[in-house]
Amino acid sequence: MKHPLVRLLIAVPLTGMLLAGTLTAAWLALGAPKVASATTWFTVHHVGGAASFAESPDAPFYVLVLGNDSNPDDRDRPEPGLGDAIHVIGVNPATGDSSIIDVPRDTEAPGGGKINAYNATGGLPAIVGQLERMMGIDISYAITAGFPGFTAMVDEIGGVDITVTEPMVDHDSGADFQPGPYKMSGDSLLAYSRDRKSYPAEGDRQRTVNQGKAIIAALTTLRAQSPGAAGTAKLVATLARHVKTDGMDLTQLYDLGRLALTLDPARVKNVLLPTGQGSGTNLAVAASAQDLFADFRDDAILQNH
Amino acid sequence: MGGVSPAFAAKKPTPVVTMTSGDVTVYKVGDAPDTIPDDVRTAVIATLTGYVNAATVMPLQQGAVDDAGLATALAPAVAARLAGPDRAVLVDEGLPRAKPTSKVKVTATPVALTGLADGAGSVVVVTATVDTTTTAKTTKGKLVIKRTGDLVLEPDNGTWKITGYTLNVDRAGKAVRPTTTTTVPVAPAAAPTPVTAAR
Repeated sequence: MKHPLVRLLIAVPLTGMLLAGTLTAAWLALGAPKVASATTWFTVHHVGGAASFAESPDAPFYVLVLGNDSNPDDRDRPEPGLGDAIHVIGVNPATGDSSIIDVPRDTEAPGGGKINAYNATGGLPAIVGQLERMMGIDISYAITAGFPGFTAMVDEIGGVDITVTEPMVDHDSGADFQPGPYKMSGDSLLAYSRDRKSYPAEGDRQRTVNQGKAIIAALTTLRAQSPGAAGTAKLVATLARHVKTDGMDLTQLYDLGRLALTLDPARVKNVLLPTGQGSGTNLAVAASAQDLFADFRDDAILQNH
Repeated sequence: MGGVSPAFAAKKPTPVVTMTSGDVTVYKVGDAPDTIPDDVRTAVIATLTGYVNAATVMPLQQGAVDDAGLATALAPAVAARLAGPDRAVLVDEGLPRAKPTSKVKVTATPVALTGLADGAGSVVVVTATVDTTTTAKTTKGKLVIKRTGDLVLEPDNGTWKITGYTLNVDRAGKAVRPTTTTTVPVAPAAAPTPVTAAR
């Protein structure tokens, strides 16, 4: 019996980001298990915007956190894979605020078809382009999962504190949680982030929201563990051994991580993209989403949602 | 009668602080040495010294910040923030000047430095934990300024500049007591204390 494919990414600022950005984030889709400690946890891409974060440090910017279902150990799952966990994070450095729009994988893209397929057919530029077109924004950074190093990363930081708000029982994902606070290991957080069967009505949509919650929880944990500018340096040095960069250097990674760790997780808004029934199994972007996008693109923050 | 003697007027205010480095830690991606190279450390300390002199000492001695000194110490993005609310944290102005006969005294604990080294072994970021106390006798009484926090420095065309900060500044003493006799401010008001900023 095949394992369901599980993928998850935690980005810090990575910065921060944010990791920051940076930014700073954790992500997951569908994926597979154990990885060696030397495995690449994720890749941070500079896909647009200013050449250097330091050039316009107060300018709002956007980060795509993307999990794909590729698996180097499975011929049927070649790179770059379907983009099955999609989160667009807006960061406003001037105010220290951040917002996340969680995009269900079956959402119809502006160019037609499911948004997650664009990563498989056209790679990162294609899915970034579709999301930019959908939301009317320019994405500066993308954080993508390599082979699932998620559990190793979460375990290395000592687990992530997260509160479960409703009973979650899903044998396929391994989720078995009652409401309450948890310090989750990599395996547990993976199960939490994969569970969709505990939500008969919302399914993948609620799972997508939970992934956003996992991002915020990871940021909270990392922020607590990495106080101050020196703490960020220590964290970035650790991450850099497991993170690939594309169009960025270590200094930029540090800057992004530092920014991510200054964001207050309690003020991060996590909002699900409103969708309705589309053609076939697609989810159509709801008309109300245009108001959401307008709120997002003016300063990267969702004030009214 | 009165005024400042030519000899005194020509006297250039003297920087009164020299920072020194304290504990050094390096976090590294590859096989970098466990210390920050001497040339980097020297450049970083020079930048920190220049910043304190330009932002704190010179305003107390001359009545205005040393813009040229700040431009040398601060990266452009940080310098741009001098136009915003963080100015009250970054520089000490709007305060009474030190008496000409009184020294501005700065004591600084050795600066703990933390370096981030890339895979090639080069230190690309240095963080500095600063703790300075500046005292001066002014025409309005004693002034004590305590500034603590972290500064982030990165290389910039052969020098090291401050690119980020988490600072807290606490100004105390008779010199910063609010006055009820002045109705028209002629200079930026001294910031309420303590004030903090992080970027």
